[in-house]
Amino acid sequence: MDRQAYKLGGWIGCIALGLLLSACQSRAPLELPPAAKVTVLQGRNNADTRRLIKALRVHLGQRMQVMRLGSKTTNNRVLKAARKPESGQVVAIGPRAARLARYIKDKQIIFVRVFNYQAIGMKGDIRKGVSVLPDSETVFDNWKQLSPKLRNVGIITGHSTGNTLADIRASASHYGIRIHHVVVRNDKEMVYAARKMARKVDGYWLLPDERILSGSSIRRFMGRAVRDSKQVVSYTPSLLKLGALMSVEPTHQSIAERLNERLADGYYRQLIPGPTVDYARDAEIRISAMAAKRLGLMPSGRQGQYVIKR
Amino acid sequence: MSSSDRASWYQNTFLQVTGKITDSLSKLKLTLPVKKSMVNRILLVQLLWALCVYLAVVGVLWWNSNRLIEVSVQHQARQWVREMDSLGTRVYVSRVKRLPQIEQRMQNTPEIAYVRFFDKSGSKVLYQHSGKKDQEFTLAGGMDESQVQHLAQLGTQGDELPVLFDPATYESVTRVLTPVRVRSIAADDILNFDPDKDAHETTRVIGFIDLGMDRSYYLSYLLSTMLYTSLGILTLFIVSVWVGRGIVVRSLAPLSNLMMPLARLARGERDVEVQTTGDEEISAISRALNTTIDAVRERDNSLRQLAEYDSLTGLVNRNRFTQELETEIARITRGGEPASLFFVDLDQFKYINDTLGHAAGDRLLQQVGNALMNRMRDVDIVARFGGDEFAILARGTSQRSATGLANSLLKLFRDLRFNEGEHALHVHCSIGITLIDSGTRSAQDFLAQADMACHQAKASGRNCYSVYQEKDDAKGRMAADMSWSQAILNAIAQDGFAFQYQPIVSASSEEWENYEVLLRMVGDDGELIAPSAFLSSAERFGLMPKIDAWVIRNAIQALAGFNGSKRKVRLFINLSGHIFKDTEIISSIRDMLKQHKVPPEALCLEVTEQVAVQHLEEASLLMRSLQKIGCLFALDDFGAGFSSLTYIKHLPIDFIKIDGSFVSNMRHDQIDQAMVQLFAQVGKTLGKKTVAEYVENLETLAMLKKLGVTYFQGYYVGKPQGALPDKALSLRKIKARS
Repeated sequence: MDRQAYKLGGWIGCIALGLLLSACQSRAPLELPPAAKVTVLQGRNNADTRRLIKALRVHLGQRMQVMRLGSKTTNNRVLKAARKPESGQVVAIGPRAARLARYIKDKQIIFVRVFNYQAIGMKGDIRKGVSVLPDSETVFDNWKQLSPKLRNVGIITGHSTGNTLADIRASASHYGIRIHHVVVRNDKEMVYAARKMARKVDGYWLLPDERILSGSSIRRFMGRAVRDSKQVVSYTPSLLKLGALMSVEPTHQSIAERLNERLADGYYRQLIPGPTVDYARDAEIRISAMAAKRLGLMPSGRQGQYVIKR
Repeated sequence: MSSSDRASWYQNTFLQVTGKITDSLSKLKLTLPVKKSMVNRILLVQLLWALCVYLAVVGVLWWNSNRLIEVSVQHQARQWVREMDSLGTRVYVSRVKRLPQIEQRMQNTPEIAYVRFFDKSGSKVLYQHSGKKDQEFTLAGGMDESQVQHLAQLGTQGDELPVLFDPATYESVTRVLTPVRVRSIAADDILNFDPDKDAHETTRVIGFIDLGMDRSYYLSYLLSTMLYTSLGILTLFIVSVWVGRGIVVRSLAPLSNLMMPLARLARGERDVEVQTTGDEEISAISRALNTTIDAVRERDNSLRQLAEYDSLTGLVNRNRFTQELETEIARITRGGEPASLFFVDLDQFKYINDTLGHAAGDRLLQQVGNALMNRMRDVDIVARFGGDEFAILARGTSQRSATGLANSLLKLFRDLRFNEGEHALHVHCSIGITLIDSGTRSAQDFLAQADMACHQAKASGRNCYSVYQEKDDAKGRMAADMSWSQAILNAIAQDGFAFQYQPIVSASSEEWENYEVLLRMVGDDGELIAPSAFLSSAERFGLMPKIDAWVIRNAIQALAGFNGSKRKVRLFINLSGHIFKDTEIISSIRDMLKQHKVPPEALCLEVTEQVAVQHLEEASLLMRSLQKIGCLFALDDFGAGFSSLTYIKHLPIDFIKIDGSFVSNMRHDQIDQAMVQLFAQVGKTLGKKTVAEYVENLETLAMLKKLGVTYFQGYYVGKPQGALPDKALSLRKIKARS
């Protein structure tokens, strides 16, 4: 009885989604006018933010001004400038910039590269963003294809990640995957929790929650996972060398594109339409050949192009 | 039994064992014999040294082991707190009250005494567990505030897990404190995380771990090991002492064996031989002792040779002969066979000595000694008494066989031919014999009897023997009753000598009256005995120095008396050669002259040419010393000894007294006349005054004066008188008298 209801609900959902997608494709994307101004708050000047700003500049050109955070004085000055009406919409890159942007009232703020946006307080109709995570459909689709027997996935995060986990759970359920989520407070608990749930899960999806991750905990977590022959999907390809099976991350171009769309959507309205976070359309996938071999997995089909030999 | 109890038991046992060792040593010291033993002392020193080494080694081992244990425990503690940091995560996740994993680990690891997990304030214990059920570890107030602050500060710095060791909390427990930390990657760096690079992270301290490591677990093991090792070492000590005692006693046994030979050596035995066995050190001592014994034996023999034998002839000397004689007398006293004592005096030896020299005389004496030794039996004893005197003790001889032996000795001498260069001489002897048939007389008495008999033989014409007879003449009786030596000693002690003064007249007028002092012994009935009767005995008995001293003393006293009569009298006194050996004669003469206020030039000392030449160096020194005082010297019998004339160049003499043999016949002998002329000429050339003796007539006096002799002495000038003439004599008065 329950299984039949479950199948019926799935079909109805698929039909509704198809109608929604066809409606979106029929509407032409909005463009920011040339006179529009966008202020980009750059939290940390690292490779990731620089690549993102570069990709964003492709869309915004001279309409974009980048303000880099620094000391407290600098931040106050940046905050003062961003509050001005002529500075236009605000884009906050990274958690630091998002935290600072909380103090900007009555202005649309698009945050990006922020995982725990709920904990920071980025919510509401004028504070929306592009997720730091790839679309979970993409993740599970590729993961399931690589590891068909995958049934249980463990996810460990800090508190206030309900929206993100709801999206993940929803996608996972499409692939028959059960998400085991544990909320921890620090890196020590994270390692402990991972060890504790090891018997229940086939693999972990390591999310970029900086509150519970440290260098040592990542190493211990990865070491333990390798020892226990657990599959790990990482948010960054740098962990492939520690034994992660696959990394999935949204491309900077895709993020910039999605960000640009959200800016345009908000520019012509008072409120920013759509969900609190939207996902980039394209993701960069890498598969560790060594890990796959160790785990007895065989990339097939189009996944072959993702395989790296390192 | 817990490890701490075990440790304390081992500690107590160790102390008891060391206490017993100390007691045993004390008892050993007490039970040592009162008389110190080298063996025991060596062993005691070795034992004390071994004990010191043992204690030092144990002390160093104990200290180092403790230090090693401490370091090891600290190292383990660091590892264990890391483990506890991981195992205790649940304490901070779910506040559990039991951690089976930790309890299991601690059960399997007894060196962990306890573990506590504190909250971040360090005051609240979130979890604790003690590995020792019977021992509670309580912390009053938890951690110190300073420890909390210090660890909290350290915990946020660096990657290395900081630890704090608190040694003062529990005895035998090393307490280590460490913070429980959590970290998170900097917010904007999570997407750029690279395992190969250090990420920016923030660190927080959420609690503390308090871990106690029990050192007593290791200490008990260490103590038990040391206890068993000590027991082993003690056993080795006992065995080594037992073996060492045997080795030392055996090694020192040769040293103990030296006692008997050394005791014999101390008793005067010389045939002692020390065994050179044993170790090198002791055999070296034995060899050294043997060398010393040999040296003592040789020196003993040498001294005995010097004391008992004549160095020239190898015959026994007077001392040894006298001892043998006394032994023989004692034997005869006990009823033994009689013996004969022979006193042999060579005739004309003086002539040979004077004409052929002393070396020839010595060779003659050696030849005579050998001849006598060869003639006599082994049981007989032949001795040389000095000069040309020999003595023979013929054992087991009667008077008849003694005379036979005397005849054979005379024949032996008649057959004896002494060859010296181109000269071939026959030597004769006079023999005095006395028969030793009873022990009523001493050895000295028998020697005196033999001496007298020998004199009798000489008086009988020499080259014969004489047997001592109790019925000898008065002189012989006197000598028999009182030997010459005793008579001389009596004369010296009782002034039994007398002077006779014979004038010496100068050819020219002179203010000094010169007289030669002639010594006489006053006999029992007042007769005067010429020195020829007793001087040889005095020489034999070593009494000449005493006679010289008597003569000097009395001559100076006489001069003192003459000077009181306002006459300037100079006395010529005759002295023997012994005066040159008297080291105090100069000061003695000087003191006496000063005491009696006698002018030194009033004393002229005479020595014969032979004596002066025999002691040339000493004579020269004495003459110069006395001349410094002012005394004069005369060389007597000059020419009789055929000495080189060059001798008088070296002798600082004032008078040359020409020997009378040249003067007495010079009227009929051209050679004597020439010799006298030569001596007078030599004296004149050297600035010496010449004295002619034996001037017995006017012709001789005139001839001497013509030849340049400056002083005259003889019966013509004046006979010896017991007192000085009333007036001084002169040549003119003498000629007028005749």
